[in-house]
Amino acid sequence: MDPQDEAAYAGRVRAWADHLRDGSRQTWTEFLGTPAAPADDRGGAPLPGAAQLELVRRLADADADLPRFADLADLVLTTAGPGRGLVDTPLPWPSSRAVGTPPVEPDRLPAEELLRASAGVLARLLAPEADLAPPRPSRPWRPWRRGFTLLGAPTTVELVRTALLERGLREGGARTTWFVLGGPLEDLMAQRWSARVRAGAGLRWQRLWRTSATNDRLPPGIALASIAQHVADEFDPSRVHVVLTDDPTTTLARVSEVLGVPGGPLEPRADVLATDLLRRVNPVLGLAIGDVARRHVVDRVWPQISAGEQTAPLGAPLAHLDWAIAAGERMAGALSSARYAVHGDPAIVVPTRRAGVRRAPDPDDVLAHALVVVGRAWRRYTERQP
Amino acid sequence: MARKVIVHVGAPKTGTSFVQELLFGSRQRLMALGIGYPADRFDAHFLAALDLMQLTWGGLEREAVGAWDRLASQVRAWPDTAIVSHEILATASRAHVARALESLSTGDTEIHVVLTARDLVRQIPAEWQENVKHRRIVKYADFLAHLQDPSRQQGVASWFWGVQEVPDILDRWGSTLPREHVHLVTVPPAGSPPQLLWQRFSRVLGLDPAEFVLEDDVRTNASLGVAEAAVVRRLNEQVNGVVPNHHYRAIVREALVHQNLSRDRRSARLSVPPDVWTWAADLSRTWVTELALRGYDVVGELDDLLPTEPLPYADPDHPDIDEFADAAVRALTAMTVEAARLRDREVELQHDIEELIDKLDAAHSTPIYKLKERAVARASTSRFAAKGLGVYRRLRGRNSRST
Repeated sequence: MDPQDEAAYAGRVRAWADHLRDGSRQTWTEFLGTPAAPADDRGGAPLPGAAQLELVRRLADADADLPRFADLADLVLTTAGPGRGLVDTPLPWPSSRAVGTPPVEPDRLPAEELLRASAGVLARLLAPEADLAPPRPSRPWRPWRRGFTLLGAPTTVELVRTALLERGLREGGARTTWFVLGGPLEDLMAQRWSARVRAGAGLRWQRLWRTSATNDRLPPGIALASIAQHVADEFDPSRVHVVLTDDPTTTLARVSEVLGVPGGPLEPRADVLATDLLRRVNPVLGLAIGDVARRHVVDRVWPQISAGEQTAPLGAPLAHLDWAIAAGERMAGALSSARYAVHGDPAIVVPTRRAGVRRAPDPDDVLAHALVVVGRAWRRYTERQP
Repeated sequence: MARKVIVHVGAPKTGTSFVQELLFGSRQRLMALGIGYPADRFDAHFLAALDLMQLTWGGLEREAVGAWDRLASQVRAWPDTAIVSHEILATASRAHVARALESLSTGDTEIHVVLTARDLVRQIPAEWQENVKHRRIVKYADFLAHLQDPSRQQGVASWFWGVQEVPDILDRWGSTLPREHVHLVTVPPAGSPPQLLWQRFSRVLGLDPAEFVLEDDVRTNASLGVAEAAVVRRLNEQVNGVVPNHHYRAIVREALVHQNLSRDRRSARLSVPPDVWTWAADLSRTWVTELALRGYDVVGELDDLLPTEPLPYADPDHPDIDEFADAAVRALTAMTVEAARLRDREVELQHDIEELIDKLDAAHSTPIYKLKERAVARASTSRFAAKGLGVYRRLRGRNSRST
């Protein structure tokens, strides 16, 4: 590419960027088919890459009503893709450069590249949240109330815990009743994965399974039989209850029955896509504001990241399904012969060889979710910085 | 005179660790010459590069928060020539480069970019080996296929070309600088004296290379042979998912690879198969032609980037079984010795703990300590004693639960 051609290319890319800033959803190919204005390479800022440009286009496509879209576009276009991936992917042009990343049609970029760009943008949008004070959980002192302690499946624990506190029960205490909450093993692993990622891990779903299978050990937080056994040994087995169900409403009903309070409906949470998105954002956000602040920010914004997700639960990766079934059977066996109360059928924990189950998050689905989350984060950002 | 900042951006496997060790170890002497190499630890510039490019690195990135801004502010505060050096900077995108150069400048700053480069035929096996040392399990044949895939979207291809495609790296880092401020230092061909690279590099810094004596133990990343690399790759398959990164770094990379297998290479040197040699040689010629037109300051010869005659090829995916077994036994020996050393250390620490317990017991057997213990025990049953203890603790100025 000679210097004149390079200037013409740069001018056309900047013109498309301007067009996208105005909310256009035209692809690069469609844009190239429109009459070209005179080349205008203003120089200065580096040319945005294909991923940044395409992300702006997809954001406009996902939500046409985003406020101050041009400002969001500028933020996206100036955010370098963090971490590893294609370096400065150029757009197709009649005379391409002999060196560097080969050109790619932006709308044919791999979802992973757009997710990388999204992670950088989300980190920039979320970092200012660190300046807000972390919420202080209120814990009214009610020693006369019945105490409970929840262990096991992290998401279910969170949901049930909130419901019980709303009913005026207290957490912990000397005469607490211990509940170990669980369900199907794959669901337990998904909840564990979500909790680990929210705590800062950049862990993939497949990696969590591989590590567990290689070590032939379930993550300690969801090894229901070991947890219940430990609590029964340390305290009174009559105060230990393992509750096995496949939905949080039934779990709450069983726990409430033991505690003598009314149950109620609980909305099940699906957060596969949000978790896979967050694992990509975590390292970038952690580098920007540090790990402690990252944790506070994630605690605060997790409801916005995970809201609206309707994905089906993930299954164990095929490579580890045999191990998953064996581990589930061992757990079910241990729970069946326990000397503490078990509510529900222990066989529920054992995975089955179901067909048509997704066994890893689909990057295209994660990207679609990421576009929604960037939009939400942008609205929040503009509300705080009018 | 304008301030000068020299940014050495790579490439990996071109003797960069050697240069960085020398710069880090010579900070005081450099300072006396007006040259700053701001680093409070050997890997300070590595952490800064991680931060700049928002890269993860097996958990090390947690130590990198704010590292680039700290380094840049030290560089800006330095009145004369300052040096920044890390090889992973080679893969910085144009946006990262823009941020880096802006943050290192104070207006009157003269920025120079230096890239040390070696011929592609030597870089390809060196990079695969580096991947293996970073616990990857990709087979050599797959690695080579990924590099040759024009899309660069498979495996580590995007990283490889990001840090090894010399004309593109110089374009990303040097397109906003005067050509004479972009320095390409070529690594001499295999068999050249080790001082030659330092002589070339020091010319860019304006130093007399003879003033900086190379210590024998200066850090170099020695190569593994075909069989040794195959053993480590197979080991990775077994320990990935079992051994956490921090243990892998200490036990496999440091104790096994750096301290043993690469110091005692007995199998053939890693090379490329003939078809890859031809492809890489063609590509290298294209690069050299392109670079000759750019007008950069070339230190050494551009022809150093062309491969020399091919080495005999031995396939690390199918190593000679005797050599493989020999390397595996040496690895097992090294690990046994390391395990014994750690056991000795454990025994020493156990001994230290027992000594400390004895000292603690002696301290607890004094009359004054026993008196305090009785007072604390009394406070748990007597409100009067508890109040007295509370007053005593307030007077002491801290709330100690131990006495």
